[in-house]
Amino acid sequence: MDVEAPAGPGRDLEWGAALRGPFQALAGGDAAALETIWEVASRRLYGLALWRTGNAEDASDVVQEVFVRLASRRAELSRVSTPHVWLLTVTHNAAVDRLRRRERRRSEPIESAALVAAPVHDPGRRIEAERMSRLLSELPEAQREAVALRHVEGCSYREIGRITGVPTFTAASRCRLGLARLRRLMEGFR
Amino acid sequence: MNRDDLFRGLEPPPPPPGLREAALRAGRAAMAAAPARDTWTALFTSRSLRVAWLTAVLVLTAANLFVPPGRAEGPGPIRRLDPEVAAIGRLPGRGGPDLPGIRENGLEGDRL
Repeated sequence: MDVEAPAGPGRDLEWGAALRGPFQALAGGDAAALETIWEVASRRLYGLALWRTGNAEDASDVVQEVFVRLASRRAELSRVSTPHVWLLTVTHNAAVDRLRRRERRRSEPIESAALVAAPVHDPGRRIEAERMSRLLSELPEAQREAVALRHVEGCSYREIGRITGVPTFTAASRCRLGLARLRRLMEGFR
Repeated sequence: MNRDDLFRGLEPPPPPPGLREAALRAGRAAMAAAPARDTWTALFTSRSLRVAWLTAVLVLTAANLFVPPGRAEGPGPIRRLDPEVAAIGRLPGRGGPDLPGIRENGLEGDRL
């Protein structure tokens, strides 16, 4: 299995490179770097948190927690070689913590969040986006997250393994199973 | 962003309004609350150093409990006493059952 090949054309990891400067600045105590990091990464971090938790309120809390951890652990940021992996790992961990707390409460119903959206310039695809969101919400959290990291964030299987704390093969397997299940769900939906 | 065919033309939803300000405020507050640690603070609060301390304490405690102390030169244990000296320790006590003579000739008669 090819574990390092990009998921397809258009794989965009430039945002990882764009984060190096702000990471260094934040490590040096420059609070304005938080805004740059927000501009570069917020949509991706919110997307991953949403795909993992399946809940807009939880995802918002996760993103806030990521920025708190960014600030409180800034001393280590200057040694981070892959900032996007660091940020996605922190997001994953915060989302898992959030899910554990929610499972302990058990009282809150999980609302179905819009996991994907139509582009602003193409609102005609809104129905398709809503349908895809419903199907994605039926995937197990781990598979949904692996699919998001692979096909939305453009991570390699090895990076997905590092982010989610599982072996590379497990990451690839989750991704493959998630996509297969999604395709089956789509066929049943038609 | 990369897209599989399934996701072509779709994208993650944008963060809700207000989250930007909330996240940046939380980050700035965390920066103000926790100034960057200097080298000594980092050293004393480092996890690996704590693990090293714990390991050292456990090893010393285990050694104290399970490793016998070195034996100094001196007399052997009491089991190795000379038989004659050991017999002194077993002398009969007063009023014991091995003093029949006293009971028969003296003490018993006095009481009568």
